[in-house]
Amino acid sequence: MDNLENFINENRSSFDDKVPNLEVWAKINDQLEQNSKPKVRHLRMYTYATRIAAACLLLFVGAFGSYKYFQVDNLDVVSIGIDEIAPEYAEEVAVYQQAVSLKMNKLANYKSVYKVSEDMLQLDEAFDELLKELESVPYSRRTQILNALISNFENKINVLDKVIEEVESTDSESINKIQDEISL
Amino acid sequence: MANDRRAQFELYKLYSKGMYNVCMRMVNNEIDAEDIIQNSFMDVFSKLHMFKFESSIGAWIKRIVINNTINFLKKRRLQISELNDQLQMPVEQEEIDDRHLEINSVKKALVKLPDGYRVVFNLYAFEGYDHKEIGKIIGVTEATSKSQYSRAKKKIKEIIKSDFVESI
Repeated sequence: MDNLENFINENRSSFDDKVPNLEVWAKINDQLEQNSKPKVRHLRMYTYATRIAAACLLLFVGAFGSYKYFQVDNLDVVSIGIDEIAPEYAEEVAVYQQAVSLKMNKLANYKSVYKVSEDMLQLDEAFDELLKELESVPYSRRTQILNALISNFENKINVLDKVIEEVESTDSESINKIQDEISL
Repeated sequence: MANDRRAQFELYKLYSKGMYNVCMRMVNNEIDAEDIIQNSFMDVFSKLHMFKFESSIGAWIKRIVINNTINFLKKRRLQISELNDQLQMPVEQEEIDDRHLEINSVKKALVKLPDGYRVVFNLYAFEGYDHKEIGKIIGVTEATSKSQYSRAKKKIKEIIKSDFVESI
């Protein structure tokens, strides 16, 4: 070791005299906040979906007396670009989408008042939001978002199944009534 | 989440200054160094679960910072090419007059070094890596790292000497 190396060793800490700008932490903090958002939304999504499912049942049981026609037009299946963003999930999503569509059509045969359309639209909005996130999240978080997308479909199907089950048990005359009205 | 952020800030507070100086000595630019530090700490926080306690957390963070710095310099066309056998010989060193050795004179000389010399010199003399490790980090042989270091050291001494003469 020569005198230059010795000098550096003996004075090593004096060379570390610069301090990073405070903005560096602020930027890191912002980035951490940004990255934690999908996780937070993901958790909210589950809570939200559960609440919707519970609210659906309550609404159905509580407000069954006041009938309105079920509007199929409002229940158009969400238009998605999953095949472009995550083609590996396109087939799975298509199957779910078809299942949701069939259940909605089935429900449309009943005359019950059930504001399921609004709930479905809210779930659709949540789905669109997840889809947007999917485009921007780092690759490591894609699976998490994709799982949330699939959960979104499962929630829709659960909600629809419960409603159909209730409707079928209490509104068995509806189909006949509708058929009578059509025949008139 | 709030606890996580506090812990992350504590880790940042503990290591940011040291890491910033490591980075500054190699890139010579405050804005670039700050960007590298920002990205490096994001890497640290996202990979913390991968830390295996095989080294100290400081050494692990330093390695992340150094890797990011080398990647940055490579994008800026840092070139440390393998040298032929003749050039791999360490160069003869002269002792420098102790009166010329000051913190500022060494720092100024480091700034004037070409990128390749500066990186190898910093990694060996300041950060304590051996030539085998330096070879792995920058992708050259141990012999090339030794030779680059020897040449860098000689160059620093020449710069310090010449700056001292100019200042008289």
